[in-house]
Amino acid sequence: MTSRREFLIGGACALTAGAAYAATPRDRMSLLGKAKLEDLVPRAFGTWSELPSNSVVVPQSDDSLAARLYAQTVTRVFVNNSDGTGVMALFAYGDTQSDQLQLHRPEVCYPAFGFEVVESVPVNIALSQGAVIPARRLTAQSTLRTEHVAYWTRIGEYLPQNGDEQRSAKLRTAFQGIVPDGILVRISNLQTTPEDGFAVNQRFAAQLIDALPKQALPVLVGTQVARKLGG
Amino acid sequence: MDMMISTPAVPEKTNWREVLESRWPLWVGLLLLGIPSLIRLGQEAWTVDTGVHGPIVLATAIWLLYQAWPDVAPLKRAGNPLIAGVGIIGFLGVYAFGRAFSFLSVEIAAYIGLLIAVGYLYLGFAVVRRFWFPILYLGFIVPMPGWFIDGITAPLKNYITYSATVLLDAAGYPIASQGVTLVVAQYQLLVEDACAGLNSIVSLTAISLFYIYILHNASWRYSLLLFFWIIPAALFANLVRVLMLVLITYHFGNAAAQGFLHSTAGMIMFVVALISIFAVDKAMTPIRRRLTRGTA
Repeated sequence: MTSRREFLIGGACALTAGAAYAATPRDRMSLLGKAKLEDLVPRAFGTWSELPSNSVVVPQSDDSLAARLYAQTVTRVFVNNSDGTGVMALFAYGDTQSDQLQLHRPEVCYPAFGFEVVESVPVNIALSQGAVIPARRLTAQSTLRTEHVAYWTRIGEYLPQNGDEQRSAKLRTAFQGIVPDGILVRISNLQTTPEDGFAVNQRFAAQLIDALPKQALPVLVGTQVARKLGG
Repeated sequence: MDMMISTPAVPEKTNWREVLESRWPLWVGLLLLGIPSLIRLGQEAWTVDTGVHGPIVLATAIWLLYQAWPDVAPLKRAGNPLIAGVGIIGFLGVYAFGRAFSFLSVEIAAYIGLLIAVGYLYLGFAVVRRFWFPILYLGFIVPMPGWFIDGITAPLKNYITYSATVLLDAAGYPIASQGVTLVVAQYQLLVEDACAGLNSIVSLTAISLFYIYILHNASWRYSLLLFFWIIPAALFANLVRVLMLVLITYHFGNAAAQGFLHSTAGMIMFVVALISIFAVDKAMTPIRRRLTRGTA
């Protein structure tokens, strides 16, 4: 005999399935659109120009993970024309930021590549027009070198500075019914002190942002900061 | 607790067909949630290193439940509908959240919770308690979030790197390390892939637990005791693997090590870990006898 109880539980299950389906974010947010990251990042700007080289100092030991996480990755080495300072820049774009697929923060990933992160603090990177990007600076040491890293991440319209903020940015975007895209912009150099290292990274970032084509601004820094920059 | 001495007097046989037919709205409802979740598990969790054990665990868990049923059936009592109802509604809510915002771990854990609540409603607390092992074991199909795995494995990787350095240094090899990087002679090695962690620990734990349960039908006390040996065993196995890699690299060059790494290293590690668990179990036989007799 089927009783009322089975109908109640079965019905509740069906209702849950429906509610979950209705609440699932489906609108894709893509600030990149059909553009190619490769074309958006200039090869020469300000006092910097790209060093034509494939000896990129980005450790990549797990291609499959990187390939799953990021739809497009651009890595370039730039040299300052005036004093010969070198900077490595990495742009990793993921079109879907979810719990399973989300960009990895350098302070988490560097140790996995054999670096020891000796410093990790939130900072603001000053841009032109008084705009700032909330970012993070790290000093990472390996047996071979010490890297000074500055990076920021964008998840949808948020610029989270740590893992918790990244999770909450994802969730808040999802509550609006939107599947966000995301980007990691990482700049690093091999200066001798963390202060020099950050100064170089900051100068590089400001000049890079100034030189970006208008449509690339929101992709890298989000609509709000882009608007402040006149994008 | 001991299945071996259960009464041979067979109680009334469960009529599965009748259970299936008379409660059809319940099954339809549970499947409506379960099938999409299973599909997602297959697509997102079972295809990556940390979740490969999923299908085997699911199949063996169902088998365990089915096997144990005749012994447990006589304990069947209806559960408290109020408690069950609160549980069902709660788990459904959590499930909807996990499903909608794609937290696969939350979704799967809530579904297992839902099944337990429904099981409690129809079969009662005594039955649920007797099924403690299959339920716990089924927990291994809940995919671990990446941040969780990274969190436990990062210190373990550092420890392994450090131990390997100390051991090989004592053996006279030119070796040094920082973080998870090993430098031996002119070679530099990274312990484990980026952000991948000691992928096998979860699979190994699941298999070891199954082994403990099947072989001894041991008490939960003994199972817990042996459980604590799983991580040391996995650590030991990983250390063996790292030592082998370093030695192969040093003596035969990088190409040989890469070949070894991609073909056999993972397999060997798994076997070493399982053998260590078996060895620990063997060594602890007197303790097992005492603990198991105590609760039987």
